[in-house]
Amino acid sequence: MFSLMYLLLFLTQPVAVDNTKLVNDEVVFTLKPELPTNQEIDTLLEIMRTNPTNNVRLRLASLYIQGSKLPGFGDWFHYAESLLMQYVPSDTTSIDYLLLLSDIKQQQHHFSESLHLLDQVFQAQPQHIQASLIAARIHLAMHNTDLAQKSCQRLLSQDIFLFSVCTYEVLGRKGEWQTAYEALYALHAKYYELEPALDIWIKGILSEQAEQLGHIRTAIEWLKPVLDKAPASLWLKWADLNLDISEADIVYETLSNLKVVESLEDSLLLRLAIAERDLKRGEHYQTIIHDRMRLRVIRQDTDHAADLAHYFLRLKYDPKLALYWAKINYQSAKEPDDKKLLVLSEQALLAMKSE
Amino acid sequence: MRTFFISVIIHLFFVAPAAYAHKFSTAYLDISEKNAQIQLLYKVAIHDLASANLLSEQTNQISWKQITASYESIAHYIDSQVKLNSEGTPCALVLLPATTWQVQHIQQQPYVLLQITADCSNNPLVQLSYNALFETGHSHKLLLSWNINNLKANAVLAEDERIFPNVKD
Repeated sequence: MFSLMYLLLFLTQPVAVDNTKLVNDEVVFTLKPELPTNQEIDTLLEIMRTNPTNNVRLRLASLYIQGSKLPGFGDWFHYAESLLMQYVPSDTTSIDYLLLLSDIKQQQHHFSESLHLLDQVFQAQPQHIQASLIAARIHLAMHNTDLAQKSCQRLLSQDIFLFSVCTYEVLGRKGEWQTAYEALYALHAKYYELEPALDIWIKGILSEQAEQLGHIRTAIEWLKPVLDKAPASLWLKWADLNLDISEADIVYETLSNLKVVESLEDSLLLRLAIAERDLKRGEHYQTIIHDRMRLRVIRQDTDHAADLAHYFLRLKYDPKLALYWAKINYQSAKEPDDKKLLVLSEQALLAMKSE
Repeated sequence: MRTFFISVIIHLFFVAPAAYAHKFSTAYLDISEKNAQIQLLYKVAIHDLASANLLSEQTNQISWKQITASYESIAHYIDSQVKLNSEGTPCALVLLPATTWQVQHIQQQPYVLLQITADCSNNPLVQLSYNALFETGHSHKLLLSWNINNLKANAVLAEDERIFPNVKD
């Protein structure tokens, strides 16, 4: 099976690439899409050339990670990782360093490592705000709602607003969706002028809660105004909600018009390919995603296996493989969407067997 | 506006969890035999060479001339990270001149095709030890196509599986 798939990788139809061009008769390659906020990065890069220090590495890595969360800019994640590896640990290892590394580990779904790093932060500052928020986030991803609530509790003496948001998110995940939604809705209404990153975070939670209550269009409405600046994970939610109500058109038009469409993450490209298929707009994105997923299967990557489960459930229909990958995914990630994916895969396999 | 007193990196964490995978780094290595000499064809993403700080220019756009100008650093890196051993003795690896290098687009990414020869003094028992690019990303893997020593096989080498063939006691 392996040799055949290996061969297939190189026999697929060529697709357009926009990362190579001619400049003054010379071939030039673009390594990664330019981040939108590049001025600060340019300044720090200049300092790195002349006087690289741990502090500059951390500031740069922080901007890279921030940028890498936008759809299509995922490559910057690896540059951040690389920078953090050049960090020279000292006796007084910086809390910022621990937080950045912890965020990288949680993004890779290496939750235990991430929590271990956060423990080091808590030893120095037991009520550290960012560390508490990341810890709550990780416990939610693992569906440990009691531990998530304990992490929220650390915020109580620091920031009552953050404590409330954190608690309402956990309350929803405990199944109290209606109570949590109403409480968070009221809180959000009180603070109508929020700092943008905070606004995105809260609207993301409200959207999830509205979805769980069956209000799909409301869930989409929460995301719409913040989509431009939202991380790829919220774009993914937005795309799935629209595909759920047969609004493939808006998904196709929005994603295919992104400047960075060719470098979109597999998960978003998959949604674009599904929209392309539903709308019968050719097979361009389907060809690309088929290639990428073949490679993921050959590599036997278990990180973020949800992509493969969605692929075999929604594009290249194979319920058996969908369930195989959904189970692998659920070993590490237990968010509501991961649970839903597992159930849908099980149902699809049962339906296939009963035919 | 409600703002915060803490550092700018707080922005990072007011987001939903990463429900998507970052790009995986993949390189390809074909090892074969021609005229009694072992030949390696190493296909590596230009992006990965840049991440490993192997290109002379650390910019977002890089020309073919700048890539080939990095011959020395790439050759040194390969020599230290890719080993062919013959019964415990290292084979001499030589990266062919940059004039032989080519470009191939694999999965919309530009790759450099590097040709390498190995002198294993005609010893048939050869083993690959691959350590490249793992340090620049946890997800790097090598897709290996092996066709020497009367063994034809494909394998995936990863951070926790760096040797081929892996002879276990």
